[in-house]
Amino acid sequence: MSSESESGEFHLSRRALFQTVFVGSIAGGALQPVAAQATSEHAGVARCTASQVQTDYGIFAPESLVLSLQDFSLSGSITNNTDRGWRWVSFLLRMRDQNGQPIQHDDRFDGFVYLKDIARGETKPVVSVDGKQPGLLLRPLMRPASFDIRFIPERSYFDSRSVFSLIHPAVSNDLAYQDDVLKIAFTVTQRELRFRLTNRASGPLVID
Amino acid sequence: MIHQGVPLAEKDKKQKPTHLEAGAAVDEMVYPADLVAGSRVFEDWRLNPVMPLPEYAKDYRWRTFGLLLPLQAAGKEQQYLFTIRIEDVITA
Repeated sequence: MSSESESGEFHLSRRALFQTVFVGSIAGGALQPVAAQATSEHAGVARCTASQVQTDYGIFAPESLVLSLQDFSLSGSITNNTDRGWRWVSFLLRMRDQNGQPIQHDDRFDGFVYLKDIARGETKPVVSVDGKQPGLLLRPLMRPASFDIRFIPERSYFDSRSVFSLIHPAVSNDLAYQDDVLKIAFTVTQRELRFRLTNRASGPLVID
Repeated sequence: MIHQGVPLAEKDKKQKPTHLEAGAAVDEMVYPADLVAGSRVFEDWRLNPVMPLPEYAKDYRWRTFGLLLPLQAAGKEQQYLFTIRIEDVITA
């Protein structure tokens, strides 16, 4: 968890640091974990007031997004009206009270919902980071009357495909080359470069 | 570079050459050893993506990368330099 260096300074492990921040944020902000407090409020929902969420690539359209005020789970779906398919889209909830004032919430790790593998024009339910029904981990400081969602570009990833060509030793759109010694064909993926090499010489080849 | 079958912890060691008989073929994977991330203490290794993430891919249009392939044929050493260019990035 923690250790003391020769200089007398304490160093926290990342887990210990997270726990410290987590507990500190709950205590400091008077936020309660959702599961730790039985609700006595009458059941109700807060509805998403945003009909469009703007991005640089077009809009996402929330449909019937509601936040349960009983267990603070979130349900509903979002249509991808952007110009592309996405592997992962992140949104952050912004809650408001009945006067329309923003409710402060610890959004360092709470209040995020996601869409996974959504094509252009497709509608999908929002999910948590592990693909389950999303919800708040911490009870809001005030009873939310409504909310909207904001697109988080730095946590969102879209699909794309690169087109490659071999330009040396010969030009080939198929990424293939052959001479008297070898025949080779490349495949480029996000993670690595692959090739199939065939020995066209009359004797063995040694590839270093 | 490391290639298929090389333990990531041995990324900096000299690797065995591949012998290929006449007419034979081999499927290989090559990966820049510098992009292998991990820890010798925890024996935890991973391969970072070799190509840019999709959101940055357009910035790499017209960029090139290459593979230098040293080999011996009939006892004679020669090197092949294969250069590949990113011609376009198409959004899905």
